[in-house]
Amino acid sequence: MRALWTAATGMKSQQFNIDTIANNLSNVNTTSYKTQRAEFKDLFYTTLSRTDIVDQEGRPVNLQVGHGVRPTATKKDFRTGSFIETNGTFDVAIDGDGFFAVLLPNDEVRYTRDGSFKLSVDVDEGILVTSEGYYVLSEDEDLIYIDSGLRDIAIDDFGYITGIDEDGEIVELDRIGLFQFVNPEGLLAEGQNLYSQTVASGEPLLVEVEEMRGRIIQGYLEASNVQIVDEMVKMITAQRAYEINSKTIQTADEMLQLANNIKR
Amino acid sequence: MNRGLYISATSLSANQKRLEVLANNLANVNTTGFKKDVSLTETFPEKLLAKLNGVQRPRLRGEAEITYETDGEVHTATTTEGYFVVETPMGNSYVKSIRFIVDDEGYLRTFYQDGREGYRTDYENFITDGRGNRLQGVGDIEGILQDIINYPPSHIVGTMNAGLKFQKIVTNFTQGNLIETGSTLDLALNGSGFFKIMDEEGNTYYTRDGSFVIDQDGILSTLRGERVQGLNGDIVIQGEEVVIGTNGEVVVDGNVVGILDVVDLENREFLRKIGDNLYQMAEDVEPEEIPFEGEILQGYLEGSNVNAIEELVEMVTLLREYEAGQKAIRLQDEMLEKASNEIGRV
Repeated sequence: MRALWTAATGMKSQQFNIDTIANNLSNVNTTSYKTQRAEFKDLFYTTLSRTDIVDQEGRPVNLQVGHGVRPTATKKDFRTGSFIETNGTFDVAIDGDGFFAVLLPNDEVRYTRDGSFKLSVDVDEGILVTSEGYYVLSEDEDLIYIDSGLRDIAIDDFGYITGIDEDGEIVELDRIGLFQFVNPEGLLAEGQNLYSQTVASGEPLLVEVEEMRGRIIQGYLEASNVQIVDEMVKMITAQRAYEINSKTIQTADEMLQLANNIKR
Repeated sequence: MNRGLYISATSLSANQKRLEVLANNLANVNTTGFKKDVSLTETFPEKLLAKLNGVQRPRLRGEAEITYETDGEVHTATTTEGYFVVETPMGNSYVKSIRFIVDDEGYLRTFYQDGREGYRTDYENFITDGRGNRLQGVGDIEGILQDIINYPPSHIVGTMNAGLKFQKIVTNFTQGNLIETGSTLDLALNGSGFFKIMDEEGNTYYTRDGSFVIDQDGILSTLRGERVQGLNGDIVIQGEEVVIGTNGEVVVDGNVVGILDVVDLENREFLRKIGDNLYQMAEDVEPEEIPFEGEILQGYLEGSNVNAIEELVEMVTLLREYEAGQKAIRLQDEMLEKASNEIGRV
């Protein structure tokens, strides 16, 4: 009874769907989280054997039955989330496309839209880091140093960091690096709000000041773009689809039982 | 052995196949761009039943009354006496009523429709004159019909068929719901049509799943890596802002880089599903492409067109049919038991 296995693939796929939705819902308050969507494709088809060889010979009649479904991908939705005011000096949000680059302790570069940066102070010099302590990279892919004597640190629309020194002079520091990908959907989510580049995403491209479409906003953070209502609707459909597939299994089982009972 | 046993068994096996098709539809209730399959069953040809030891005496002609109706191209006819003889791939079928059209070559044939205008007759059955000749006719169809009624000899008591057979699976290409995703490279087709996809070996596929990505070379492709075809081949997207118009125009940073090759197919009933939401033309069938008349929507995907309620209702009916078939077999088994054990008791 092929239907049993077909329905089982349906149940497994819906389970995967629920897993994805659960992850979205648990990240409803995660800074800069991007909602994910499970994608499905139908499995292969087989042609049913004809009962009669002479029957309709040479007739290109469709007699294929499918074997169910499989999940193929989870696609991230990179729509910008809403902005939340935090007034933190080093809290920055990207209004538009692009990612900040961060350097991991193992010298690998990751990308993130989570701009809740901190200052890691070392003697008289501060270094801009993420909450986890990873270094934020400048446009030249260097660490960003901020002297401890500076006050009133400001980050402008383009990401330039400025401060006022003890003499009241404005000091220009680095520009926070902003990078873009041809296909951000191809980025690999690494957890901790980080993404790494893949073959599918393409190489990171630095967004020059002249090319900037969006802007960087200081004192704000980007909220998660999970839409609870959408997720709930998806959860209902996924649960019902799961249920329906279990009904198919029941029906197939009942038919097998009936077939068994033909012989008394 | 009792012929009824085998007839009942055909119903069981056909219903089992129907469940397999249904199970696949239901498993794909959340699959992007999935089109549901419908299984079609038909009876075996009606054969004449003869009385044993009956006196063979030919009947006289001309006693039948034909009720004939025509509605545009479709002709319907029913006879009170005798039979119409229809040539099917499995031999002649003797029936009391027929429904047919006159095809392009003038043959009287049964027909089917595929959701578009017009009737199709390819691989359909022929109305014959009862002596093995396919009937051609124009003009006075009613008069022609009067002449072709087959009056079987008097020892023929009626007809019977050998049960149910699973004839074919038809894909229902009606539109699915549009689901907003907001993704730049998610495209949905509103209207009958397909995206054209080409794999590395140059095979062409069709799909309605418009969930595309850009591969490492900047070429618009499916999630599996087959390339989406534009009117001038692959579509290369290198830039930031991608806008796809309802007519399929791909605009990257203000420049038109290509137009999506979206086509409709005149002979879409020959499309075969090969999995991964792709369709391929059946072997030895040339695609007849016609212009796509709908629109392409960016930021949307087309959902599956499987209606869970309809499928469930069908599942319940088929289960009950299966049950009835099983009961029929048991009943005949009981009769055989009585025949062998009780009648024979001394």
